[in-house]
Amino acid sequence: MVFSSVVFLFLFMPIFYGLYYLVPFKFRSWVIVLLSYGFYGWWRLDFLGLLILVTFSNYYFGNRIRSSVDARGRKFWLVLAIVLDLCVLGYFKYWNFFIDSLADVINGGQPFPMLWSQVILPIGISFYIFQAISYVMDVYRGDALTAKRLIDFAAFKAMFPQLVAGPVIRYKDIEEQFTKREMSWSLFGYGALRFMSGLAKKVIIADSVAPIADAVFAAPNPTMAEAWLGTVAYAIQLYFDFSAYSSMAIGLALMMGFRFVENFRFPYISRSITEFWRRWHISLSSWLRDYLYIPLGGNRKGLGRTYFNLMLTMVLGGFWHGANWTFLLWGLLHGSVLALERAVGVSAVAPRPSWAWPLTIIIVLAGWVLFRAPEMSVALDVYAGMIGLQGLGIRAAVAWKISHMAVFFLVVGTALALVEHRLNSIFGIEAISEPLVKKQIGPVPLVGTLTIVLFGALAIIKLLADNDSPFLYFQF
Amino acid sequence: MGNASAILPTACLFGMFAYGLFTTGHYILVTEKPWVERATLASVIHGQTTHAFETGLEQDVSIRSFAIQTWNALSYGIFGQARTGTLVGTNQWLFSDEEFVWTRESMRNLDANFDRIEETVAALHRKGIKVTLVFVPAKADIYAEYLGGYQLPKTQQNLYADVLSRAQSTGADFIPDLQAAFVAQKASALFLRSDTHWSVAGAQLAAKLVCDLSRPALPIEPVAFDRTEQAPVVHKGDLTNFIALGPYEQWLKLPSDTIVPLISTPAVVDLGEDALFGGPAVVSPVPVALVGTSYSANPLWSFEAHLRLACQQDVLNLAADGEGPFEPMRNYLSNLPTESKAIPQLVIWELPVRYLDDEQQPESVALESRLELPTTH
Repeated sequence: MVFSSVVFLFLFMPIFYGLYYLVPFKFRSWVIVLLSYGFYGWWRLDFLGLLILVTFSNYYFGNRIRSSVDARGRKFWLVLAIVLDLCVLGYFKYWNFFIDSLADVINGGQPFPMLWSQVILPIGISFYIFQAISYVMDVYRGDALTAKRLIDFAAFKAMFPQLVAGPVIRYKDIEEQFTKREMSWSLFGYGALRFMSGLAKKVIIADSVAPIADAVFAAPNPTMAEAWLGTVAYAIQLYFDFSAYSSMAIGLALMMGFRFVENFRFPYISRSITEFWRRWHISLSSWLRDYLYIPLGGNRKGLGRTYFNLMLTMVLGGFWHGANWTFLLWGLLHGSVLALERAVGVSAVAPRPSWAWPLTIIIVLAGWVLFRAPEMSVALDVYAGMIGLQGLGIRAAVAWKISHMAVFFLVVGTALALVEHRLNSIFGIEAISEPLVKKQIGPVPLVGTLTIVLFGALAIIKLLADNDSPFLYFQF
Repeated sequence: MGNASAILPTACLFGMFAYGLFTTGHYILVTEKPWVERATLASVIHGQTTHAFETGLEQDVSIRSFAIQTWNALSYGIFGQARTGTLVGTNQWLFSDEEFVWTRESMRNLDANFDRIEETVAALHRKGIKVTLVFVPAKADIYAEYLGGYQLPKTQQNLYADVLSRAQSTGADFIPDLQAAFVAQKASALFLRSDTHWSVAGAQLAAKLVCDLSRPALPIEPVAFDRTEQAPVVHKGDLTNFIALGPYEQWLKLPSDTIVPLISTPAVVDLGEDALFGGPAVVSPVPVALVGTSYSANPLWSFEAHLRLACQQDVLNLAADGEGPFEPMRNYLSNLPTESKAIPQLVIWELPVRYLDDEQQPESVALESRLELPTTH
């Protein structure tokens, strides 16, 4: 089930929120668990079993870590938990990639039929496994207590707003909210506003520009204009798709009284890759920092090791996105630039010159080519196009696929991505951002409210008119 | 102001919830759901049942038509475009985007489809049946001047010539200058503005060329047919399905075509003093079979009628709508009469070129095994 679908808007939401507010507070975690399982199982019931297994096992491991009498025992249970979690992720996400790569290297590309298996990638597995790992590590470090009630832990794991595409929620950020959280009509309304704004961004902008990226990345030998147009279109599609999903997740959580971490902070205004990673998929970058980069040693073991740790963290972060060499290379690109920026003293917070923005954007766009291309040959094709090796103008074979409406929304989306922070301020929409940080959410001026509501309604009209368009981060 | 700005989205959401529950309730309790009978434990576990429920629910939303028409009105009215499937040219000419599609698999598909054609022709030849192939050119090729901002990709511009060159090795007859003839006479409106198909004039031109080419394969004795024009029909073409406007059509005019369909009936023949009764000449078996797509199947374009008039022979029309050119031929071969005296002398196989670079469904049974006829008449 996806948020931008009839069944979610017209069936799941009314039933969930109706039941949620009908039952007494102490039973609301049950409602979250049961209906979130229904949400996930709507895709496939058999993989719901995997989610439940991961939930129970990590709850058990958390308790074993806490109850172990010595450090060795605690470490044993932590390592066991992480290894098993990674084995689950490794099998479902990476098994066939490894087998195919092995076949390419030692068997001339001929597959190994005995080893290859028809593995289906469970939706959201990358997210809920990372979430589980953060829980056991926080318990081990003493940053979080173990969940008092299994049902609360299950609710944390399964909560439908973040289940399939994040943000990557940490238990320690919301554990208090299971016992006490603000629920009011105001908060419900502001959450609804966040949800509608996300729905509008996803359905109206992301879905409208997607055909441009699809056309370019499917065309052989793209020209310079095609390559840049397609890459920018993908950058806009990806941002408005993913940030919209996070916005909807935050809104849906707020409607329950839960406050999630903000996941995007206008990344395309960044003037360095270091800054970019503080604005893009923040829950993931902070997860990688806290649970991979710092345990690797962070910047505490000398310059060389710091650069290595940065690159390794980003390579693994890239690999998390997908079982493909293109994602590994994407991670390597970002890791390399982060290391380079560290070496020359780039700071994420100190002001940077204006020329740093186009340089940063070009690096980000170059990375998105790898992110979007289904294989390396396509990425290389697009790169060749970008530097003009395959002609300049847009060919007829591609042009007919690029509609005026798509170009219009590409322009609108690009402008919005660059000035959204200012518009949020003008329209007062920033009042409903950063819910985990702010004590007071809202109010939003009427003009901002009306704008969002109108675009939300338009999004529902377009959604009904369009075919299904799953979220990009659905199968991560 | 604080709570007021939260009231509006809350109220809107509650309205959506109420409508949603009503819609879902209607779908569950009232609407027929054929997928329920097909549901199995496996389909429930693997998500096919929920997918079917979801698809059915989406179709059942009462405001769906309004939403489609509204979005279409916005995109057509502001941007001058239709939904995916139709390209809007100038002078209200509409074109199918199928005529523009070329993928990395297109050349391979072209090879495979011509293998199929060659195989089919060889099998028919072994049964003593002559074959004439009619490659219908793309509308965008003939009326490129109405494409507006669009341009047919080079691959599509070269497609017809490629098809003719491949046709030479199929062993069948084919009209070498059908596209050129269409271009030369395009002032006669050989294609419909609002539809993918040829007009009655286009079908007539193609029929004349087919019959001129196929004359040696036809029975020597011609059969007379009467030509009757039917009442004009104002036709909103299939391409306007991608610009469903509903009530907005009163402000945003969509193109349409006026068609005068033709029917051909056997002429009453005076069989002389020896005949007990006069009557239409009847030839059995029908010497010409027509197999193809909606270009042949739809009586509005009158291709079958024009074939009778031009070939002066009866035609058995076995073309089918919406199945492409290969499936009707598969069905035809499967159902060929077993008696050799009952099979036709000539099969006219109409194939629009835009289908030839598409991937076809794999054939489950080899063509030859379907043919259980003796090799000669």
